Amino acid sequence: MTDHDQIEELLALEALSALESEDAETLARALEDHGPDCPECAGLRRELGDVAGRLAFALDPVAVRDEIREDILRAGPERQLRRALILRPRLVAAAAAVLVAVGALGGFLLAPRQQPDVAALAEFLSRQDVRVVRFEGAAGHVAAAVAPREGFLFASDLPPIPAGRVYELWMIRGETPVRGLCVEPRDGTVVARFEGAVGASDVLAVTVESESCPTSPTTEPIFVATLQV
Amino acid sequence: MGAADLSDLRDRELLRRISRGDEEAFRSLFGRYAPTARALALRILRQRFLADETVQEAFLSVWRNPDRYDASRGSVRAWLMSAVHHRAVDLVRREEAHRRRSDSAVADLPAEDPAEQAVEAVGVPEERAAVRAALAELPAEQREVIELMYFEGLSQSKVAERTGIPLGTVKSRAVLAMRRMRASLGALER
Repeated sequence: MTDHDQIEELLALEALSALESEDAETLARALEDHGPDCPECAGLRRELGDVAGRLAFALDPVAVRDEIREDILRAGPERQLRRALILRPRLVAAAAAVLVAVGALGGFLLAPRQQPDVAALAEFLSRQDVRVVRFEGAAGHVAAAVAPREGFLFASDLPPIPAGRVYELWMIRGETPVRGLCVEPRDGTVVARFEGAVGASDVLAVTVESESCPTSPTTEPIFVATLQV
Repeated sequence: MGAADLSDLRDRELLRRISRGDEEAFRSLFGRYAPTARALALRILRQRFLADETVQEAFLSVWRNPDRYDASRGSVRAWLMSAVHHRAVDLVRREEAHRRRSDSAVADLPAEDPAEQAVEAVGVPEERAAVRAALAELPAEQREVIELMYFEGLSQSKVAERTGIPLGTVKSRAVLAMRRMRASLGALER
């Protein structure tokens, strides 16, 4: 195998995003040996990269909602990329309150893998003042059983989130979000208790946050439930 | 000059206008390529939320930094799809433990939103036909490697693990497939 044969092989894997670290180092060394002006190396990288990029066109295109495009245009050079993608218009307005700075912390932080006691859950669900609300939002199923001062969040098939990120629940009254809990799903599933002035809240919302569990939301909600109609 | 070259000239002009903040140019580029980008992200990630986020981030990068496109590295459309592909693959590898609930692809997603149907009229039909023909011409064992790497987001050793083929064979099949694809697509443009 000549130098350029080896480089071609590694560049092909790189273009397909299949190259692993050891081979990536080998490729970097080989390219360095040839120098930045090697026309054959440059040509191989360009052509293989072009072929790989074009492979996507073998797929049938899938419609993209206009909101995504308009969100990008509104984002401009400085604003944070919006992550709330599928909220109903009426809920967007309510959820926009999430971006307002939070007042006093009324909830508590849940240990990520803490599971509620089954007896406590049964006792809670059998209470007269408990009702169930369903969240609208991204893929998955999310609901909460809420009482005036506490609640349980239930979720399944939650979309995976990047490492170092968690789901955070907010209780929103007017324009003020109060943290409910911060939780890392286990296999896409959550059953978690939270406390706070749930009964006085207008909206419950879930955002994706860093695992430091910020005291005010930094992204827009991906799940929203209305409590006060 | 082939259709693909003309198409790329138009895309470069759109990028030039985007660099001046032309929103209509961005809408045009987005309309042309975002549906394919979303199909690619969905195929790799199998989660609509993550796919939409991936597409949004990739196109936001285009909107904010169109000058990152380097004409010496290939066509605009390939550059755009590579950006989406790299993001999706990075994400899926971080989330690998949560994923792979089955071996089939987008068909495993929950019920479709009506707005999410395939949009045949969008984009570049000649390109689609050319790439599909080039893929179809590959020997089955080479096509399998390409599909696992590109459309499933598997690394070289994961492909070897999945197929039971020695890693060296996986690498050689990948390069042979890419060489054939390069020849097929290049010949179509000449």
